[in-house]
Amino acid sequence: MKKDKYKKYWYKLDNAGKLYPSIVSNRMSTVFRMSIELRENVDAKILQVAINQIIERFPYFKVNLHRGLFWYYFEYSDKQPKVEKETYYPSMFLKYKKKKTFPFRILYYKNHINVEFSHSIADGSGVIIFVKTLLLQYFKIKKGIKCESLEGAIDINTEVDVMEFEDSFNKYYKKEIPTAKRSHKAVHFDFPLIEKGKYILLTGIVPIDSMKKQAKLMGCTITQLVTAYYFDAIQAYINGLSNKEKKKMLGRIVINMPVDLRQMFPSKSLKNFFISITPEIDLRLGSYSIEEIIEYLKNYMGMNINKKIISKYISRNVKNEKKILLRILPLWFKNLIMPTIYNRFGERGYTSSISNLGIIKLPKEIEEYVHKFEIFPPPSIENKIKLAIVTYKDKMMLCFGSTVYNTEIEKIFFRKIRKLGIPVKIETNMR
Amino acid sequence: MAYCPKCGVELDSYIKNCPLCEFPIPDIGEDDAAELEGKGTHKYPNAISTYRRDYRVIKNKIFFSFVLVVISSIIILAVLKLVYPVSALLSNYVIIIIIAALFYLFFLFSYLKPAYNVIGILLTTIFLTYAIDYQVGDIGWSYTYALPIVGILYFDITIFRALYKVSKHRNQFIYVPSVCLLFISILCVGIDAVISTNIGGRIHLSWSIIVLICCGVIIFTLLSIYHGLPDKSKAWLKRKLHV
Repeated sequence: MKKDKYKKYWYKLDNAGKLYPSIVSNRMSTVFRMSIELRENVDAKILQVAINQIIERFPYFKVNLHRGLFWYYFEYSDKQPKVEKETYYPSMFLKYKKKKTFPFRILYYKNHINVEFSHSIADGSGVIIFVKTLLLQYFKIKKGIKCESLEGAIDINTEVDVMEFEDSFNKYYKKEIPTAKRSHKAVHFDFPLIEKGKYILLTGIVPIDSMKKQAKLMGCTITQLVTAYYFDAIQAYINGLSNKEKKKMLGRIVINMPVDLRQMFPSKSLKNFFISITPEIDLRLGSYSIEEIIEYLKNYMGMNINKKIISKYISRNVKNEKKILLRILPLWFKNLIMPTIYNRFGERGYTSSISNLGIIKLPKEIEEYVHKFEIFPPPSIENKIKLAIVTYKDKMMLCFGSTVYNTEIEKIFFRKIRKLGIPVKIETNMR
Repeated sequence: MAYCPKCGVELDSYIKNCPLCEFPIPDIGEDDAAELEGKGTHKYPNAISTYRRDYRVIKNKIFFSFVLVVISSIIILAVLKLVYPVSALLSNYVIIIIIAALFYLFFLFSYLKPAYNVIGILLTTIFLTYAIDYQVGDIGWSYTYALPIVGILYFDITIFRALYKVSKHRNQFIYVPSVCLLFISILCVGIDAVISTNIGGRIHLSWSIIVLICCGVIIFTLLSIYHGLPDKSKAWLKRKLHV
C-alpha cells in the first residue's frame, strides 16, 4: 500500500490499548522500553535515515493520538519521528495526547539504541518486529549488509498487510464464551515510591545454558524456574519482616504473567495481543518450598495456557469493551473514572509481574554487531517492581523496572540465583 | 571484573557500591584498563527528571493567565468607576478581593520558601481585612478581631509545622490526625479568647472548651492505641468491659 492511502487514515485503539491513554500519568507512563546494545557507538544520522526509511512501512505506528467524543483514536501523521540523544529517565511520560507527538520515541546513547513504546499502540512482540526491521535497515545503510533471512523482521519493500494492525482481540472473540473471573486484592510491596518522573532499571545477566540446565534438573521450563524463584524471593522478604509488619503482608502473592496469544491464534498483528494469567501463592496457608512452587506453576500453566481457557480471558476483555453503558460515556468521563477502575480491577489484583519475551533471533549477518537486548516493563504505582525477561544468543536478561529505591526483592532474588551456582552480572541506571 | 563479596554478583568496574546491597565494592585497580576498553563509563546518562520542569511550566501558565485576568478586571472596574461613580464602593471591594486573590495564588503556588509563603498568606489576609474595613469607614473589626486571629494562626501554624516535621515519618494514621486535631483545638481556643475579650473585656472560654476536650480525648485515644496502654490500665479495661 502506498503512503498516500494512509493520509487522513485513522485507526481505532485495540481492546487492551483503549485503556492506556485514560490512565497515563507522570508516574504511570505506560511506556515500555526495548534497549539494544551494539558493539560500536550508534551513528545518530544513520539511525535517523533508517527510521525515515522504515516508518512508512509501519503506518499504524506513524500516528498521533486524537480525541473522539467517546474514544481516542490514532490518525496517520505526515511528520517524521526524530531520534533523540537520551537525557531523561527511562520510560518517561510520553505526551502523546498532545498533537504531533508520536506514541513512541527512538533514543540513542553511546552504543545503545533505546526504543520506547506506549502500550496503547503495541505490545512487546509487536515492538520486537519493529526493532528487528530498524536494525536490519540501520546495518544495511551503515555497513551495506543485506540479510538473506529476515528472522521475523518485515521487508520494507512489501505492502502493508491489514492483518498487521487488526484488533485480534475482537477477531478471535466469540460471544458465547463465558468470561474468566477477576483476581481479588493481592499483597503489595510497602516500599515508599520514588519521586515522580524517575524510574529505576536493574538488569541481571545470566548465561542461558546454566538456566536451561537448572530448569532441566528441576523438571520445568525456564519461565517457570524464574517465576518460582521470584515467588520465593517475595516470600523470603515477607518472612524476614518483623511480626507486626509480616502480619500486614501475609496474604496472596499474585504474579501477573502476560501470555503472547500469537502462539495460539494465527494473528500477525503488531498491536496488543496478550492476556494475563495470574499464578499465586497464599502465605496465610504457610511457607512454600521451591519444589512446591514449581509443581504448582507447572500445574497452573498446564491448566490455564490452552486455547479454551485463554478464550475466556479474551471474552472478558472484549465483553467489557462492548458494554453499551461504557461505550456511550463521553471520553472526558471515561478519563475521569478509568484510573480508579484500572486500579480496582487491574493492578490491585497483582503483587508484581513477569513478562517473558522469549528468544530474540537476528539474521546471522548482523548478529555479531549486536551485543545485547533488554526489555523493561512500564513503571507502575501499585506494582512497584516488575520483571521482564528476554534471551539473546547465550545470555538471558532479567530486567527489573522499579518505582522504588529499595532493592531488597531484587537482592534476595539474585542471591538465590547465585546460590544455584549461576553467575549473574548486574547493570543499573542507579547512581 | 568487580564482584560484590556479599551478593556474589559481577558488576561493572565503575560501580562503587553494589546496587543490590549497597556494600562498597573493593577497588581492584581495573579502572584504567576498563576506561581504555570503553567499558569504564556508565551505560546510562546522568538522567534528568522532567516532572519538576513540567510542573513548573504548568504552574507558571496558570499564574500568568490569572495575572492577565486580574489586570483586565482592574481596568474594566476602573472604567466602570469613572462612568458610574455610584458603584465606586462596590468596585473598590472587588478590586481589593482580586488583588488579594492574586497574592494568595502567588504564595499558594510556593514560589518562595514555605515559611515565607505562610507569612505572605497571613500578611495578605491582614491587608484584605484592613482594606475592606477601611472602605466601610473606621478601622474596627480588622484591628480587634482579624489581627489577633491572624497572630494566633501564625503561632498555631508554627507549632503544627514543627510537630508535623517530627512526626510525619512515624505512623501517619496516628500522628497526622493527632497533630491536625491539636491545630484545630489551639485555633478554636484562640478564636474564642479573641471573641470573649472583645465582647466581655476579658478572656472567657466557652465552646472552645468542648472542642478542646473532644480533640484531646481523640488524640489521647489514638496515641494510647499506638503506644499501648500500661498493663494495669489494660487489665482494668478488660475487667470492666468484658462481655
